[in-house]
Amino acid sequence: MLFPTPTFAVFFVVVFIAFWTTRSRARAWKVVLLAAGWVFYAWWDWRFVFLLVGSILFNHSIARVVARSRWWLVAGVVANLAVLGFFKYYNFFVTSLVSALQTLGWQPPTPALQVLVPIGISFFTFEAISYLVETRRGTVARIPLLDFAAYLSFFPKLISGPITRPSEFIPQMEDPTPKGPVEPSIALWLIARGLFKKMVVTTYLADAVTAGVFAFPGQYTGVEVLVGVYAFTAQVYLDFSAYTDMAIGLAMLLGFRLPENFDRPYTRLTVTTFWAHWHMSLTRWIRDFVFTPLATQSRGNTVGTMGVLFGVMVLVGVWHGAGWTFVLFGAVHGVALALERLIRVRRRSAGHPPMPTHPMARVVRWALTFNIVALGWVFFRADSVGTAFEILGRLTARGGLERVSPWVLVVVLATLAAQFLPEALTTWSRARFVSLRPVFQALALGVVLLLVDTLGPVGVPPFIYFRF
Amino acid sequence: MTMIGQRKGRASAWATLGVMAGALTLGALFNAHSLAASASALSPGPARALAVTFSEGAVTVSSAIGLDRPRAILERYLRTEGHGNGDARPRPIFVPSPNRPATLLVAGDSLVDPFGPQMARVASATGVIAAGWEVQYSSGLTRPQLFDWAAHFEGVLGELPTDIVVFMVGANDSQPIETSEGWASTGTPEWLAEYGMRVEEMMTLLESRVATVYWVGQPIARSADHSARMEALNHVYREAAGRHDRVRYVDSWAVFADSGGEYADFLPGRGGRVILMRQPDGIHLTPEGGDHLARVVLDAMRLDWSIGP
Repeated sequence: MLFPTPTFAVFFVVVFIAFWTTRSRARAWKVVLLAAGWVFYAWWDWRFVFLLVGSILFNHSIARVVARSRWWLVAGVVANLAVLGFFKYYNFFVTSLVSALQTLGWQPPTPALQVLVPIGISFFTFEAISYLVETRRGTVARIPLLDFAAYLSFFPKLISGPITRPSEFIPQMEDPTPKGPVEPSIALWLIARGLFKKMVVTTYLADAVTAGVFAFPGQYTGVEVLVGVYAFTAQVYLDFSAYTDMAIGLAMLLGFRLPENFDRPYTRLTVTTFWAHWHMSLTRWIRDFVFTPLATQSRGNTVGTMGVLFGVMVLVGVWHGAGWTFVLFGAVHGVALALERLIRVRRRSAGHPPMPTHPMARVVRWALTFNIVALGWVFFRADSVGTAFEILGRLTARGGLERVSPWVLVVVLATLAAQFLPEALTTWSRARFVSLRPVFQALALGVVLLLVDTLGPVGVPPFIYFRF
Repeated sequence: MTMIGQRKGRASAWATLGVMAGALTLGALFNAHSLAASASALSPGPARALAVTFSEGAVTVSSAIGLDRPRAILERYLRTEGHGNGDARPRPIFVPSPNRPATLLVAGDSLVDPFGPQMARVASATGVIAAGWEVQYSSGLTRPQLFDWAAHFEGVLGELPTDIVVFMVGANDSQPIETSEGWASTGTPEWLAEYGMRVEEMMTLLESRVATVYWVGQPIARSADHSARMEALNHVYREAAGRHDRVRYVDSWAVFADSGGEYADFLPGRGGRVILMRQPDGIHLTPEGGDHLARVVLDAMRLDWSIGP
C-alpha cells in the first residue's frame, strides 16, 4: 500500500478515526496501531507479516536477558543480522558465486532457491537491534510486548524509516498527558509537500532524462550524461525526502514525532557533513552502533580510523543494496571520508583550521563535495559496474543538449537552489499555511491533489528506497 | 475560528479530520473523472462496486458545480497528448543505415522494465536503429479504463513517425473482462473471444501505423497458475499474429524455460554463461534477462530489416 494512493487515504482515515477514538484507553490504541501496522505490511505480501511477528517475539524475548550478559546481546545482534543477511544478500552471493565459478571454467549446478526480499526488513531490523543495545545500556527500560510490537510495526516508518530509536519513540507512547496530533497543520503541509515532490517532480526527472541516460548512455552526449547524473542526484533526494515528509507528517497526525532525515544535504562542504545531513537516522545508527565502537579500538590512530571509516562506508553501501555497484558506492564515500579525516588531522597538526575557510575555498569545497556525492550516485543507480563506468566514460563525449529538454536543467537547479534558500523562507511558507482557516487549508490541499493527479503518472512508480 | 493546532487533545484530532476530509473530498471532486476511470479498472467485486458508485457520484457532483473544469483546463495547457497527423498508412520497410536509422518503440507493462531499456540499448548498438521505450505499470488490454494503449498509440505513433514497435503486455490481463454483454470470467469462451478481438484490433492499429510489429509473448513463470494463464494468452497472440502480415509473434516462453521446458531462475545466456534471468517474484526479468530477451527480438528483426550481425 503506497502512501500516494486512494487506497492508503481511505486506510489512513479509518486508522485515524479508530486511533483517536481509543486514544484515552490505555491498551486499545496500541492494539489499533499494531493492527494497522500489520494490515499495512500484509498489503504488500501477507507472508512478510510472519517475519515481522517473528522479529518482534525474538527481540522482545532476548531483551529480557541482555542486561545479564553481553553475550546475549551479541547473540541477539548476530541473529538479527543473520536474518537480514539471508533475505537481503542470499541472491547476490549465489549469483556472484556462480559467476566466479564460471570464470574459473566450472559449470556449477544452478541454485533452485531464490529469496524474496521482504520490504522494509533493513529498517525494522536496525530498530530491533537498537532496542537490544539500548536495553543493555540502560537508556531504555524493557517494555511490554504490546508496546514493543506497536513500536516496531508503526506503519508510517515501517517500510523506509526514519530509523527511530526506542529512546525516541517509546517515551511518546508512555506519555500519559492528553494528546492530539502534533502540529497538525504542519503535518498536512509536509504530506502535501511530499506528495508533490514524489508524484510530479521526481517522476518528471525520471521520465525526462535519468531512465534514458542510465539505461544506454551511449545515446547521449557528454553534457546530456552530466545533466542526467545531476538529475538523478536531485531525483534521489526528492524521492527519499518525499517519503520521509509523508512518513513524518502521518506520524504527527497520530501524535508521534519521528526524527528528521534530511537537512539540506547538498549544501554541505564536506562528504562527512553531507552524511551528517543525509538519511540522518541511518547515519546516527551507524555512528553509534558501528563506527564508534570500532573507532574506539583504533585508539585515535589516524590510519586505523581511516580504515574504519572506509570499511563502515562500504557496509553502508552494502546496506543499500546487494550488488557490486553498491559496494563501489560505499567505497567512493569511504575514500572521501578517510581522506577528509587525514586532511583534518594534518591541518590541525600544522596549526590550521580543519578545513580552508576562505570564501573561494568554500566554493571549491562545495563543488568537490557535490560532485563526489554525484559520482557515488552513478554507482548507486547504474544496473551494473560496467554501465556505471560507461556513464563516466561518456562524460567526455562531444555535443550539446540535443535529446534532453532544458526544463530538466531548470528543475535540477531549482532543487539545488531550494536547499540554499534561507530557512526563514521555508518557515514563512509553512507559517502562511498554518495561519489559514481550516476551510482554506482544505482548499489548498485539494488543489495539491488536483496538481498531483493531473501532472503525475498513471499508477505510482515505486520509491527508490523501498529496495532497502 | 481557531486554527486546528490551537485546539487541544482529541478536539484537535477531530478538527484535523475535518480538514483531511475536506481536502480529500475536494481532491475527489477535482479529479472525479480520473477516479472513475481507476474505479472502473478494478476487477468485479464489492470493492469495484463501491468504488464505481462513489466515483460516479463524484463525477455527477463535480460536473454539476463545475469542479471538473480546473482539471480540464490544466490538461489542455500543461499536458498535451499527441493527436496524430491523420496519416494512417503503414510505413515501408527499408534497409536502415546510420544516416537513416529505423525508429523503434518498445512499449508495454511492467515486464518492459527492464526489457525495454535493454531492447533499446541492444537495438541502438547496431548503429542503424534509433530506439526508445515506454513502460505503463499495471497496464494491459483488459482494463483500458486504467490505461488505453490503443488511444495512446493513436496519439504517439501519429506524432512521432515510428518504423518498428515491440509490444509486450499480458501479465496484468488475466482478470475478468467487460464485454458488450457484461463481465466474462477469465478463460471462458466469452473472455477469449473479447480478448482476442482486442488483440486483433491492437494488431490492426499497429500495423496500420508502422512497418513491422514484434508482439512479445509472455515468458514462463515460476507459478504454475500464472504460467497456465499466460500460456493461454500466448495462444491468442500467436493465432492473431498469424493473420497479420506485418506482425511477428516472438515466443519468449521457450527463451526462459530450461532444457526440460521447465521454469528456471538461472539459465545459460549467450556464450553459455549461466545468468540470473528472473526477479525473486518469478515473473519479472532481471536486467540480464531483459538483455537476453532483447537479443532474441533483435534476431527476429535482423531478417526483416536486413541488419547485419
